[in-house]
Amino acid sequence: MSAWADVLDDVATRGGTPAQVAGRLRLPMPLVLAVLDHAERLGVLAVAGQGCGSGCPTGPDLPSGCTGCPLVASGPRLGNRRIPG
Amino acid sequence: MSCHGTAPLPLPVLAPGAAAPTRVLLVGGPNVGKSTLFNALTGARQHTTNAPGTTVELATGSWRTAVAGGRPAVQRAVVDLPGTYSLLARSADEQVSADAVRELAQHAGAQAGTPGVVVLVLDATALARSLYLLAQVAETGVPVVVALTMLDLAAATGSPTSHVPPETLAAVLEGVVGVPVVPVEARNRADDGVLELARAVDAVAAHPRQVTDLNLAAPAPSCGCATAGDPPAPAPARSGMVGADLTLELAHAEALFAWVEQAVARVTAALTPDAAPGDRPATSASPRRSFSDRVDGVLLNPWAGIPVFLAVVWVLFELTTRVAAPLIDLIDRLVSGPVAGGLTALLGAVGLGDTWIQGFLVDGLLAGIGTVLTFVPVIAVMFAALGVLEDSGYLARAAFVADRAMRSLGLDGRALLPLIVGFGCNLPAFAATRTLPHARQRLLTGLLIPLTSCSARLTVYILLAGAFFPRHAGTVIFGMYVLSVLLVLGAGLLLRRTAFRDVHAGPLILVLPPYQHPHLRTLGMSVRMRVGAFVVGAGKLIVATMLVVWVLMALPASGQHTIGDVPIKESVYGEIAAGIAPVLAPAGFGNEHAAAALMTGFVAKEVVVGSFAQSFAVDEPGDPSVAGSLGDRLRDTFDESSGGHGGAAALAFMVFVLAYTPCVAVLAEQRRLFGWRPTASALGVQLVVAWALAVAVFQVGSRL
Repeated sequence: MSAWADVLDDVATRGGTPAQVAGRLRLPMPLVLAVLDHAERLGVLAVAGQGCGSGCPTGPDLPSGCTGCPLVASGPRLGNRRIPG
Repeated sequence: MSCHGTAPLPLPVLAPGAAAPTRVLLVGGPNVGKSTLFNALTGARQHTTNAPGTTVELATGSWRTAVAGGRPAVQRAVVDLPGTYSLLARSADEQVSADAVRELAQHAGAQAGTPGVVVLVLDATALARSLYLLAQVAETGVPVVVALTMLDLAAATGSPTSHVPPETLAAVLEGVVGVPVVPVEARNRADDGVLELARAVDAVAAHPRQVTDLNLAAPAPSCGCATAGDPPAPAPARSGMVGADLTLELAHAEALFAWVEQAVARVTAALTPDAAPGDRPATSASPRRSFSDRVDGVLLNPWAGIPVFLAVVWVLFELTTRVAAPLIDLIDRLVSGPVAGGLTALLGAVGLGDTWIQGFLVDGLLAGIGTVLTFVPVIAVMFAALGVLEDSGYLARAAFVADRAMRSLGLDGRALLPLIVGFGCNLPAFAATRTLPHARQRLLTGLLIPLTSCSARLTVYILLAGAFFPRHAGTVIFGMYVLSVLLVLGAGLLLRRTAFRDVHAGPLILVLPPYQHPHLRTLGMSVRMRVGAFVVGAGKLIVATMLVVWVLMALPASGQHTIGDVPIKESVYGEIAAGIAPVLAPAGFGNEHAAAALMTGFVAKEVVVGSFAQSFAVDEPGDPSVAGSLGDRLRDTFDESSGGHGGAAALAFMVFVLAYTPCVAVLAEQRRLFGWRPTASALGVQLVVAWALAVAVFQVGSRL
């Protein structure tokens, strides 16, 4: 299978972050990111932490209606520490 | 922006009689050094203009290199295009770059004597990503030269490219891809790299070269344009891809990335000859299980994931009710007791006691503000708890696990995300349906969204669960959300097997964020902003609606009373409520307070609580300083209307609030997206279903 099929299949069945996918498939991170980016552009993939398709805002000043949404940006914010791995 | 017949990009003005210069487009990702290179090539001979038909600014300039032997300098017209990672554009800037490349490919081929070349500025530290863009540009047929940048940074990385000289890397790349690759460090314009780039551009303009082995499986209708004779496409999703177009694009993507992976492998093999052929290159990702892997091993497990999610949600509601509910009661007693008493005394002292003005201010305005204030503890605790879940990255895991459960029932996993948004607020959930590629999927999802229990309904649950089931309030509220999920699943399955059999289920492919520790200061800021927005936004609506309700309560239905001095039962409000109450009697809450509260719930569900507060305050004012709580009055009223089964009636009321129509803002959005007929049909069905469910809950519950 190609990197394209491997990455999408892995994300769809096992889930995970780009780093986890790259680690499981032993693929370079830039290649995994390129696949995910292209898939998102085609509309077959959603990236949690990028806001929903309507372009809702991200960051600490989210409107209350976005509370609990899994697409809310949970990326690095002011002072947040990332857990290794 | 159309991909056909695009207006050509603006070019520098030339001296009369001058030959048409080679057009050069600088294409590449953001922050790869395009603009630095552009400045080095053009110097002061540049100016800024807008791309035709857009507000995107472009820098254009003249790139001149001297020729030995006294011949005129070679001139090229250069355009610095906005950074883009892909020719599959998703922003106005990227669309400008993609259109410019395709336009150059069309015109350069069609018009001899006006050669054009794309200088693709690629990042040496991100080989795969760079080759991906090269493949996309090359398959348009435009002549390409690669300018390799970030060479100093590449030397500092641990990649296979880090230990080789720039010239070696460029030579290896050129051997693999088949087009000229020139290492450039454009800080010094006299650098040979820039002169070598000029020679490569002139050579390719005269004799274009093809990228090696780039025979992709399917053409790429990346512009999303229909071809002649195609049926009209349905409303496009974000990418504009539907049906057969998407299938072609997916096949094309597979071939494209197969080429990229092969090219990366060949470059790596050439630079690291000790690697075994056919192996995927060693990566910097650690093969050992990290903390995230171990946690995800549980949270993403199909059997453990759902129970963990349910447990987390239960804890969330327990926390909210145990921490917030006592504060609600305190605020309610303060506002309806001392504060109302003080205001009444003040108005009496200025001669406005026992007038309609006192009624308007105390029972209308103050009651409205008090209702809004009682929401603050609930919303604050809920937002804080959800903020922790959001920031930690857990919620995306919950969505992934829920997606698998939905797909096992034959429902579309892609519909899951708008539905999850609906549990916060139904209105943005409709906006989130735009991610679904087909109109029928969007309609199906739009019909299910109102069955998700939004946070406004939570205020009603907290009031009633706290009043009737104080020791199990969290569990009761948890049960309401489970019921909401069951209603969504049930309705979704029914619709998929009847009116929406043509809708095909697809998986939700969701890339998860990494775990991280939430930061308390950021969390506090977020909660403060969200609570403030809720109080101001919803607060205005609630206070305004309660003032309208007070006016309706103050208007006599007949001529026997004066304005402001009429019993509720004989007011306009009371007459309307009395007309509806008998319909609700089989559900155990056939009283005017409940009927009227449900009417105001059409405006906003948060107003239901305020409507109760107001109708009890106006109907049974008593002595404000010793007034019973809202909960006490609710118990008395529901016990009376249900024949002593107040708990069952309260449960039935909550079920009715869950299932009946959404607020007017949501109805308006439904009508705007799907039209009057589906909206009106859904409205009727929801009212019937809500009534039937409420009656069933009361009839069964009152017999247990």
